[in-house]
Amino acid sequence: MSHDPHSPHPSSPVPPPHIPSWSVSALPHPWPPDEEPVEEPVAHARDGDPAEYEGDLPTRPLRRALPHRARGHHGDLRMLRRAYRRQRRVATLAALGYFVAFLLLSAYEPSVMTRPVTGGLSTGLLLGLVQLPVTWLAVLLYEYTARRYVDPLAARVRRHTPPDPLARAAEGEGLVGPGR
Amino acid sequence: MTEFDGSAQSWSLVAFCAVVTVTLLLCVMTGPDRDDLAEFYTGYRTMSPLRNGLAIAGDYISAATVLTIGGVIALCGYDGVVLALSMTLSLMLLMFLLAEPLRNTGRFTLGDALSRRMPGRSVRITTCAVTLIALLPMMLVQLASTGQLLAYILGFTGSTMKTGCVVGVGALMIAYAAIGGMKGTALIQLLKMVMLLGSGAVVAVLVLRAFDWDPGALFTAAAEHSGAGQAYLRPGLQFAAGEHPRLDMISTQLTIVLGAACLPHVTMRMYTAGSARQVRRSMSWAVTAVAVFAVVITVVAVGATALVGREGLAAADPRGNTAYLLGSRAAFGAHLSRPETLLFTSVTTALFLTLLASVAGMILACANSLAHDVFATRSKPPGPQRETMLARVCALVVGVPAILLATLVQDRSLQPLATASFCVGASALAPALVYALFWRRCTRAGLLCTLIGGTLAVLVLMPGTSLVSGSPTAAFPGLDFHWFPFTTTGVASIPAGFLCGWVGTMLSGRSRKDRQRRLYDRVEPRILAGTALPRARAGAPPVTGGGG
Repeated sequence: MSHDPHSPHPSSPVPPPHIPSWSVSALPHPWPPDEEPVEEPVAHARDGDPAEYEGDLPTRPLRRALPHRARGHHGDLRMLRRAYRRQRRVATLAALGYFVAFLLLSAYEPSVMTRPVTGGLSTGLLLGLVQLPVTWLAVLLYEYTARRYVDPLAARVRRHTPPDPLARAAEGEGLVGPGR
Repeated sequence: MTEFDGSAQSWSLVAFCAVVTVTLLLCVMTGPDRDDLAEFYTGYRTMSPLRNGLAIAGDYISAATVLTIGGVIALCGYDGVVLALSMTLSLMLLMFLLAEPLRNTGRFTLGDALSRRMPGRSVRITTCAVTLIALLPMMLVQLASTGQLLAYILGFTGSTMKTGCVVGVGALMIAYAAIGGMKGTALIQLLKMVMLLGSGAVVAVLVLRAFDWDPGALFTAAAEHSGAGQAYLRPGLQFAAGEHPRLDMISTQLTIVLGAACLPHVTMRMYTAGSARQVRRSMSWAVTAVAVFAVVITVVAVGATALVGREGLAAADPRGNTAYLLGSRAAFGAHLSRPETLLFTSVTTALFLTLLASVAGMILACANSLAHDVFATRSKPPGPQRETMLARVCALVVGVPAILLATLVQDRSLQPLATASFCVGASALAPALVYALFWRRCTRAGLLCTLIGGTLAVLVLMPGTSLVSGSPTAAFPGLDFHWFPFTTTGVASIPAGFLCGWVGTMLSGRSRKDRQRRLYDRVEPRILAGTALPRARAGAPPVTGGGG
């Protein structure tokens, strides 16, 4: 397996007590440990914040292949991937498709584009300028569908993923700062 | 030669000095502490979506964008409007496709995002090199046009003064990047967007009022004064001189759509958001701001043609780069009263601030990449203090050669440089991002092939295009060695970039591909869903974001 050379050395100074020792090891792989993560802990935790269960994790890193992972997590991931893919594809194809159609019409059928519509504006100019309020609507629609369909799935998947060891390492470094 | 009268010039000078003082002060005040990497590189993720969105829009709309698009709209009408639309669409595509995965996987730089899948130095170093190759031409364009623009506004003509302006402004920009980090430059971008949109909107309203609120009359008048009659309102004026005008137009617009938003100084702002939802909301604000700006610049530039006429525009600058300024000036009528002078000063100040802010953002992106991807990944990683200092030194290392080169090229046509930048973004960075974030089987060899192949394709084809030689508005108008019959390399280099990546992956052998597929499965939860941020440590400022 390839290492990310950016992870801290095992010989770095003693990490502060609330960062579990397993995350300071040299293995940055982000998949969850083999055991099911213990139930969402203490009362003061924010909802869905998996960083809270850090104290309960095993102290040695576990390295198993994908099929042994928790089933629920895998199913959630698949649903997330599907929702995400659908949203992305629809949004991109709609936006890009409209624009490519506009370009092709402008280039190869200029007679369609230059028919005057209102006042001095031609069809092409009007279609082009109308793209701006349509942009705004598209953005709003995207945000709505993301919030409604994708975000809840993502939150579920995130609950099962341990926090980013690289980001934690950076926090650790920041703490150690001037003492180095 | 300028037609701005003396009082406008002196007001502008006063305003410029004030702007410089204020922005430097802002940078110093909001600059990061010495020993926090995250603050220098990402501004601590504490900016609200509105501010972050305006900062993204600010980075996206550089001075070259304003001036070039203004010029193309003023001289070529329909084609210019399509150009402004591609600009908006590019940012929208970034929002739909890449913003959230980038924010989830990247930490400080593009190299971080790409090497999340392929750990190792080779990808980081190549990404850094491509970042520099993509941004350096843009920086040269901005710096070199500084001298022209300041000379135009303030009314001096000596070339030593212009060079002095370039050097002075360049030094300021390096200072912004080095002192302010991400947050300082974000504030400057914010200030610039507010001024640009505010003053631009007022001018647009004035232009419309001059035509009795009838956009049809505006366009008709512009067509009459444009020297091209009805062809002004038809597609194809911009590329009429080329050999394949229709394919050229399509490929240019598509290059801009793919390339403009993948440039590193825009994508680096994705990492400053706290969660996927934050980045989405920031991007909505950014896209809205850019769309509003597209309307404003269309109205002002078309107004410039309608009120000043093509001869006036071409006399000031053959490419029409001063159309925005001339349009604003003309909207106020022949004689400026006191409030109108102030308003016009705000337009010139907005442009000056745009100039200052654009290069600062680009220098920051290059410096971050150099420091973080190349120097900080050696066998002994430096501490956060040293890495911050390293990033600041890199800002100098990148900025000083840029200033020197800019003074050398400032008298030539700069169009090919700006185009080269977009082409590299579209041919190397866009395919690399798409492959790395979404393609399971992509191997390290494939990713490197995309980056290197796309860049090489652009570098080889660009000198042969008709922007570099062979036409009167080219960079070398006296020579003619162009063999590539288009104005952008996109039609060949974008497919080349995608193809190189595919070929590189296919040639890597089955075991590598399978291994990559497994690695992708491990990284995918992070790409799609991100991770919750670690809870704030005691005594540290609260970290916002987290659950969507």
